[in-house]
Amino acid sequence: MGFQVGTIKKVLIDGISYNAKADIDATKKPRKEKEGIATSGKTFQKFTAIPADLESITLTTSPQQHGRLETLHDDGNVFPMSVTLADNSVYRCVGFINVEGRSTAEGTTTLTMTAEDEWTPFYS
Amino acid sequence: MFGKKQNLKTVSAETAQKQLDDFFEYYGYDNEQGFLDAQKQDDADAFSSTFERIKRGIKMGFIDISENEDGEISVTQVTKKGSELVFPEISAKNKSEMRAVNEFTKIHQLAGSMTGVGYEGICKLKGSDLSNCESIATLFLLV
Repeated sequence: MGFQVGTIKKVLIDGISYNAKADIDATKKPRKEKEGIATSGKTFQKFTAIPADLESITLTTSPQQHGRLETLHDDGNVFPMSVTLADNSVYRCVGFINVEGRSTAEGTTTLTMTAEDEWTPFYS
Repeated sequence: MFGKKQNLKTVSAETAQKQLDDFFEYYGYDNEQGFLDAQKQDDADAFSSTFERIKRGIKMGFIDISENEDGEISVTQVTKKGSELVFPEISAKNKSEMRAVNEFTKIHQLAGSMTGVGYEGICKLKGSDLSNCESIATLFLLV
C-alpha cells in the first residue's frame, strides 16, 4: 500500500467524510483464513473464506454523526465507502459497516468496514 | 496515443444529445434546450459550454448517462487509466459535503462524495479526466 505509513487521512462512508483518530491501527484482513489440519500423513491446508474487512476503524464523531452511522449499521443496505491512507492512496468498495460502539469520553465511533466484493485501489 | 489505450464505447452526436436530454427529462425539464430556455441568457451561455464538454465526453466514450438498476439516471465517467467513477442521483448529504470556501474545491468535494472516492480521490484526477468530472458534478448542481 505504499511506503508512507501512518494515520489514515480520511474515511468516506455513504457520501459523508469522517476524520480518523490519529493513533488507530486499521487492520485489513485477507480474504481467506488458513489453518493446518494434522493428519496421520501430510498436514492439510484448510482455507476458509472470510469477509474483506477493514477492522478497528476509529472515527471522531459528534453524536449526530454517530447516529447516522448507526442508521447505516441498522438498515442493511450497501453503499460506497473509501479510505485514504497516509500515502494518499485511495481504496474503495461497496459494502456495509458494523458499528461496535461510541466512546463519549473520546468522542469516537469504532467500526468495521466490510466490502461486499473487494477493496480496490483507485488509480485516477 | 495519449493515456492508457482502452476499449471505449464511442457513440454518435445524436446519441450523446439523447443521453443528456434524458438526464434533463429525469430532472423535470423537456430536454437540454428546455433547461437552457428556463435560465437567464447569460447563465444559459455559461452552462452551454459545460454541456458541450459532457456531450463530447459521451461521444468519446469517457462519459455515459444511463438508468441504473433502481431506475435512477446515473452518470458514469471512465478515466484515461480505466477507473470508473459513478455519480448516482445527488442527495442532501452530497451537497452538505461542500464545505470549502473555494468554488473549485466545493465541486471536488461534491464529486468525491457522490462517487465514493472522497475529495482526496478526486484530487488525483488530472487534465481532461478532471474537467469531465467537474462538468458532471456541475451538471448535478444545476438541476
